[in-house]
Amino acid sequence: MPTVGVRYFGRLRELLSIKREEYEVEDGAVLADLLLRYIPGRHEEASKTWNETIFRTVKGEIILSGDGMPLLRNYLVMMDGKSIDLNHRLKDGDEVTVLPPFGGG
Amino acid sequence: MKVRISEKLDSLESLVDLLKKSSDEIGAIAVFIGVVRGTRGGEKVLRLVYEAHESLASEAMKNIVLDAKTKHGIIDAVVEHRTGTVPVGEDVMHVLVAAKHRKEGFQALAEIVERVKHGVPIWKKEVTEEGAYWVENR
Repeated sequence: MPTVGVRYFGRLRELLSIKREEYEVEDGAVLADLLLRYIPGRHEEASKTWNETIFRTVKGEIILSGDGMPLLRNYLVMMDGKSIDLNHRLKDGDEVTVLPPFGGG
Repeated sequence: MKVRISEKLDSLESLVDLLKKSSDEIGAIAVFIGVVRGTRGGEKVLRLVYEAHESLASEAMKNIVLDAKTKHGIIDAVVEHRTGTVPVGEDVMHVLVAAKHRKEGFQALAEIVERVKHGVPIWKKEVTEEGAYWVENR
Protein backbone atom coordinates (compact mmCIF):
# COMPACT_ATOMS: atom_id res chain seq x y z
CA MET A 1 0.00 0.00 0.00
CA PRO A 2 1.55 3.32 -1.06
CA THR A 3 2.32 5.99 1.52
CA VAL A 4 1.92 9.58 0.34
CA GLY A 5 2.66 12.88 2.04
CA VAL A 6 0.41 15.94 1.91
CA ARG A 7 1.43 19.53 2.69
CA TYR A 8 -1.05 22.29 3.47
CA PHE A 9 -0.72 26.05 3.43
CA GLY A 10 -2.73 29.09 4.50
CA ARG A 11 -6.36 28.51 5.38
CA LEU A 12 -6.07 24.74 4.81
CA ARG A 13 -3.15 24.41 7.24
CA GLU A 14 -5.22 26.35 9.75
CA LEU A 15 -8.39 24.34 9.04
CA LEU A 16 -6.68 20.98 9.58
CA SER A 17 -4.23 22.24 12.24
CA ILE A 18 -1.32 20.49 10.54
CA LYS A 19 1.39 21.41 8.04
CA ARG A 20 2.14 17.96 6.68
CA GLU A 21 0.86 14.45 7.19
CA GLU A 22 1.04 11.03 5.60
CA TYR A 23 -1.62 8.67 4.35
CA GLU A 24 -1.39 5.00 3.53
CA VAL A 25 -3.73 4.53 0.57
CA GLU A 26 -5.06 1.48 -1.25
CA ASP A 27 -3.24 0.28 -4.33
CA GLY A 28 -4.78 2.00 -7.32
CA ALA A 29 -6.01 5.01 -5.33
CA VAL A 30 -5.93 8.28 -7.24
CA LEU A 31 -5.45 11.86 -6.10
CA ALA A 32 -9.22 12.45 -6.05
CA ASP A 33 -9.57 9.59 -3.52
CA LEU A 34 -7.06 11.30 -1.27
CA LEU A 35 -8.93 14.60 -1.40
CA LEU A 36 -12.45 13.15 -1.26
CA ARG A 37 -12.05 10.25 1.17
CA TYR A 38 -8.78 9.99 3.03
CA ILE A 39 -8.26 13.59 4.15
CA PRO A 40 -11.87 14.37 5.19
CA GLY A 41 -12.07 10.87 6.70
CA ARG A 42 -9.19 11.60 9.05
CA HIS A 43 -10.34 15.17 9.80
CA GLU A 44 -14.04 14.50 10.27
CA GLU A 45 -14.69 17.65 12.30
CA ALA A 46 -13.37 19.77 9.41
CA SER A 47 -14.66 17.62 6.55
CA LYS A 48 -17.67 19.77 5.62
CA THR A 49 -15.57 22.94 5.48
CA TRP A 50 -12.81 21.07 3.63
CA ASN A 51 -15.21 19.93 0.92
CA GLU A 52 -16.87 23.32 0.55
CA THR A 53 -13.50 25.08 0.52
CA ILE A 54 -11.63 23.14 -2.14
CA PHE A 55 -14.44 21.67 -4.26
CA ARG A 56 -17.23 23.29 -6.22
CA THR A 57 -20.49 22.38 -4.50
CA VAL A 58 -24.20 22.89 -4.90
CA LYS A 59 -26.28 22.65 -1.72
CA GLY A 60 -23.38 20.83 -0.07
CA GLU A 61 -22.99 18.27 -2.86
CA ILE A 62 -19.67 18.15 -4.71
CA ILE A 63 -20.04 18.74 -8.45
CA LEU A 64 -18.50 16.03 -10.63
CA SER A 65 -17.17 16.51 -14.13
CA GLY A 66 -17.97 14.25 -17.09
CA ASP A 67 -15.21 11.80 -16.15
CA GLY A 68 -16.52 11.48 -12.60
CA MET A 69 -13.77 13.61 -11.09
CA PRO A 70 -14.73 16.36 -8.61
CA LEU A 71 -14.39 19.95 -9.75
CA LEU A 72 -11.94 21.98 -7.73
CA ARG A 73 -12.53 25.61 -6.86
CA ASN A 74 -9.54 27.85 -7.54
CA TYR A 75 -7.21 25.63 -5.54
CA LEU A 76 -4.07 24.10 -6.99
CA VAL A 77 -2.87 20.58 -6.30
CA MET A 78 0.79 20.11 -7.10
CA MET A 79 3.48 17.47 -7.02
CA ASP A 80 7.16 18.10 -7.67
CA GLY A 81 6.36 21.71 -8.45
CA LYS A 82 3.80 20.88 -11.13
CA SER A 83 0.03 20.85 -11.22
CA ILE A 84 -1.38 17.32 -11.36
CA ASP A 85 -4.67 15.82 -12.49
CA LEU A 86 -7.09 14.42 -9.96
CA ASN A 87 -6.95 11.05 -11.74
CA HIS A 88 -3.21 10.76 -11.01
CA ARG A 89 -2.58 7.29 -9.58
CA LEU A 90 -0.81 7.68 -6.25
CA LYS A 91 2.60 6.06 -5.83
CA ASP A 92 4.66 5.35 -2.76
CA GLY A 93 6.61 8.46 -1.81
CA ASP A 94 4.40 10.94 -3.66
CA GLU A 95 4.41 14.39 -2.03
CA VAL A 96 1.22 16.30 -2.72
CA THR A 97 0.81 20.00 -1.97
CA VAL A 98 -2.58 21.72 -1.78
CA LEU A 99 -2.34 25.45 -2.47
CA PRO A 100 -5.11 27.96 -1.72
CA PRO A 101 -5.56 30.97 -4.01
CA PHE A 102 -2.56 33.25 -3.64
CA GLY A 103 -2.63 36.43 -1.59
CA GLY A 104 0.76 38.07 -1.57
CA GLY A 105 1.59 41.75 -1.61
CA MET B 1 18.52 39.16 -10.68
CA LYS B 2 17.69 38.78 -7.04
CA VAL B 3 14.57 37.22 -5.53
CA ARG B 4 14.08 36.63 -1.85
CA ILE B 5 11.40 35.35 0.53
CA SER B 6 12.36 36.11 4.08
CA GLU B 7 11.20 37.54 7.40
CA LYS B 8 13.20 40.68 6.62
CA LEU B 9 13.71 42.81 3.52
CA ASP B 10 17.05 44.21 2.47
CA SER B 11 17.34 48.00 2.62
CA LEU B 12 16.21 49.81 -0.50
CA GLU B 13 19.56 51.59 -0.61
CA SER B 14 21.46 48.31 -0.76
CA LEU B 15 19.17 46.99 -3.50
CA VAL B 16 19.53 50.14 -5.58
CA ASP B 17 23.32 49.88 -5.21
CA LEU B 18 23.20 46.25 -6.25
CA LEU B 19 21.32 47.08 -9.43
CA LYS B 20 23.51 50.07 -10.26
CA LYS B 21 26.59 47.86 -10.09
CA SER B 22 25.10 45.30 -12.48
CA SER B 23 25.44 47.44 -15.64
CA ASP B 24 26.58 50.86 -16.81
CA GLU B 25 23.69 50.88 -19.32
CA ILE B 26 21.14 51.61 -16.59
CA GLY B 27 19.35 54.94 -17.03
CA ALA B 28 16.39 54.41 -14.71
CA ILE B 29 15.52 52.39 -11.62
CA ALA B 30 11.79 52.10 -10.86
CA VAL B 31 10.82 51.09 -7.32
CA PHE B 32 7.62 49.67 -5.78
CA ILE B 33 7.22 49.45 -2.02
CA GLY B 34 4.26 47.44 -0.71
CA VAL B 35 3.20 48.68 2.72
CA VAL B 36 0.79 47.15 5.25
CA ARG B 37 -2.33 49.34 5.20
CA GLY B 38 -3.96 50.12 8.54
CA THR B 39 -7.57 49.82 7.39
CA ARG B 40 -9.77 47.18 5.72
CA GLY B 41 -13.06 48.70 4.68
CA GLY B 42 -14.17 50.29 7.93
CA GLU B 43 -12.08 48.03 10.13
CA LYS B 44 -8.80 48.84 11.80
CA VAL B 45 -6.06 46.41 10.77
CA LEU B 46 -3.67 45.37 13.52
CA ARG B 47 -1.18 43.34 11.48
CA LEU B 48 -0.77 40.95 8.54
CA VAL B 49 0.65 37.45 8.80
CA TYR B 50 2.28 35.99 5.68
CA GLU B 51 3.31 32.48 4.80
CA ALA B 52 4.80 31.11 1.59
CA HIS B 53 5.73 27.90 -0.16
CA GLU B 54 9.29 29.17 -0.27
CA SER B 55 10.83 27.02 -3.00
CA LEU B 56 7.87 27.40 -5.36
CA ALA B 57 7.62 31.10 -4.58
CA SER B 58 11.29 31.72 -5.39
CA GLU B 59 10.99 29.80 -8.64
CA ALA B 60 7.83 31.70 -9.61
CA MET B 61 9.45 35.06 -8.87
CA LYS B 62 12.52 34.16 -10.95
CA ASN B 63 10.27 33.22 -13.87
CA ILE B 64 8.36 36.50 -13.55
CA VAL B 65 11.60 38.49 -13.72
CA LEU B 66 12.87 36.45 -16.66
CA ASP B 67 9.59 37.06 -18.52
CA ALA B 68 9.84 40.79 -17.83
CA LYS B 69 13.40 40.88 -19.13
CA THR B 70 12.33 39.18 -22.35
CA LYS B 71 9.13 41.15 -22.84
CA HIS B 72 10.25 44.63 -21.83
CA GLY B 73 14.00 44.47 -22.41
CA ILE B 74 14.81 45.59 -18.88
CA ILE B 75 18.34 45.10 -17.62
CA ASP B 76 17.63 43.51 -14.26
CA ALA B 77 15.17 43.36 -11.38
CA VAL B 78 14.88 42.55 -7.68
CA VAL B 79 11.83 41.06 -5.99
CA GLU B 80 11.69 40.60 -2.22
CA HIS B 81 8.68 39.59 -0.10
CA ARG B 82 8.38 39.16 3.65
CA THR B 83 6.92 36.25 5.58
CA GLY B 84 5.76 36.13 9.18
CA THR B 85 4.04 38.91 11.08
CA VAL B 86 4.23 42.39 9.56
CA PRO B 87 2.86 45.36 11.56
CA VAL B 88 0.87 48.19 10.00
CA GLY B 89 3.04 50.75 8.23
CA GLU B 90 5.95 48.41 7.56
CA ASP B 91 7.21 47.39 4.12
CA VAL B 92 6.14 43.94 2.97
CA MET B 93 7.37 43.85 -0.61
CA HIS B 94 10.12 45.53 -2.59
CA VAL B 95 10.28 45.38 -6.37
CA LEU B 96 13.01 47.27 -8.23
CA VAL B 97 13.49 47.35 -11.97
CA ALA B 98 16.59 48.62 -13.72
CA ALA B 99 16.20 49.66 -17.35
CA LYS B 100 17.85 51.80 -19.99
CA HIS B 101 14.82 54.10 -20.04
CA ARG B 102 11.99 54.88 -17.63
CA LYS B 103 9.19 53.81 -19.97
CA GLU B 104 10.05 50.12 -20.06
CA GLY B 105 11.06 50.32 -16.42
CA PHE B 106 7.61 51.54 -15.32
CA GLN B 107 5.81 49.02 -17.55
CA ALA B 108 7.87 46.11 -16.27
CA LEU B 109 7.51 47.24 -12.66
CA ALA B 110 3.70 47.33 -12.85
CA GLU B 111 3.58 43.92 -14.52
CA ILE B 112 5.98 42.29 -12.06
CA VAL B 113 4.04 43.61 -9.06
CA GLU B 114 0.72 42.32 -10.43
CA ARG B 115 2.17 38.93 -11.24
CA VAL B 116 3.78 38.58 -7.81
CA LYS B 117 0.44 39.34 -6.16
CA HIS B 118 -1.49 36.82 -8.26
CA GLY B 119 1.02 34.21 -9.35
CA VAL B 120 3.31 33.47 -6.42
CA PRO B 121 2.35 31.03 -3.65
CA ILE B 122 2.23 33.49 -0.78
CA TRP B 123 -0.75 33.81 1.56
CA LYS B 124 -1.73 36.51 4.00
CA LYS B 125 -3.99 36.66 6.99
CA GLU B 126 -5.31 40.05 7.93
CA VAL B 127 -5.79 40.53 11.66
CA THR B 128 -8.21 43.35 12.44
CA GLU B 129 -9.98 44.53 15.57
CA GLU B 130 -13.04 42.56 14.40
CA GLY B 131 -11.34 39.26 13.59
CA ALA B 132 -8.85 37.55 11.29
CA TYR B 133 -9.34 36.80 7.59
CA TRP B 134 -7.37 34.99 4.88
CA VAL B 135 -7.12 37.35 1.94
CA GLU B 136 -7.12 36.03 -1.62
CA ASN B 137 -6.10 38.19 -4.57
CA ARG B 138 -8.69 37.89 -7.33
